[in-house]
Amino acid sequence: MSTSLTLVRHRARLHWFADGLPQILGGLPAILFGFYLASDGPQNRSTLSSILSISAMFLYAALLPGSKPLLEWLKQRITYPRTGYAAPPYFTEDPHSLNTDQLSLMQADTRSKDEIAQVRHERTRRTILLLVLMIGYSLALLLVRSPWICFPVGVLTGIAIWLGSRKDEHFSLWIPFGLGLLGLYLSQLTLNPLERIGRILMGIGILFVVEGLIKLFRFLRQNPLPKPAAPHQGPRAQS
Amino acid sequence: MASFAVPGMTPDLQALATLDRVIHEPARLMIMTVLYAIPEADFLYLQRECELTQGNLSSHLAKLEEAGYLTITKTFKGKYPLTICKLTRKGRQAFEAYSTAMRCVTHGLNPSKP
Repeated sequence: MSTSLTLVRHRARLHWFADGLPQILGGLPAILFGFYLASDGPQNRSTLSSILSISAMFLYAALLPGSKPLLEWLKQRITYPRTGYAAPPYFTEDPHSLNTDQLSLMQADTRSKDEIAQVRHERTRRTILLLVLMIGYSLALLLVRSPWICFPVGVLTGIAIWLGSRKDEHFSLWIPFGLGLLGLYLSQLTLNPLERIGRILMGIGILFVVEGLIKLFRFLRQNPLPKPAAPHQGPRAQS
Repeated sequence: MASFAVPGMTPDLQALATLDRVIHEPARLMIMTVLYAIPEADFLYLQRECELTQGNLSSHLAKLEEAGYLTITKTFKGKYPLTICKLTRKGRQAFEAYSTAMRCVTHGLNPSKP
């Protein structure tokens, strides 16, 4: 029984990521922040470059806290009318995402509680690992002068992102492959350390957005809107 | 809950006889399983997950709602109307009791033996 419950929860989680919108909204802030970092130092900036990088920073600051409502807003218009709505099950980790009644119902079930705790623990561990790796890579990019450092950093970042998120979002293999190529490309350029970090971040963001757009395109093609002529769904409407 | 126990039956078989017939029906069991696993889902999601027709799902949901096992709320997410279904506490308890009874009956069952 618990196996099928786990599968149901897993399917609900996949349903949340199937439309590519989380990837797109996750990639955009990385592009904006990367663009800001990749711009030259303030003394070398042209007026246009300064305006663009400051705008990118403002957009980044606006997008970061607003990404969850924005995601919900997009899902209401794109996903729910096509494939329906299911509360993302592991969002029960966040007590604010469910009302008290729902939370107490879920937590009353010991098996659900254990499973949620296990997933929460695993996710925290992955996030910490990813953060440590990212800080390590950033330090390597800042401290190692040789441009070739970009290549291993690109490859390892790609592998870390792919391994860290494969259970949740099922990124395709071309994310680590693309980051490896990006690292190889950057290793051919002479860049200051902040520019390297910025460009790698932009690369990560672009790959996420492209991956998300491909998923979204497939999702829209496979799930056309139901015909409006059909009677409204729901048991009361039927009776 | 429709149940009947016949005197003289072995305890395992008695457990079978007391199974909750509202949940025991396969389509309703699928609905209950989905809603037990996730906090809430809408009509369309349930329809796709359980591969039921609109009419079929509607009637099963109505029966489960009548038994007090789930609540159906019509709401809007933006402009899109949603028929949100959630298990009640009674529904969760009934599902747990049902799964315990089934496990009790099928315990030790070896599917490889004829």
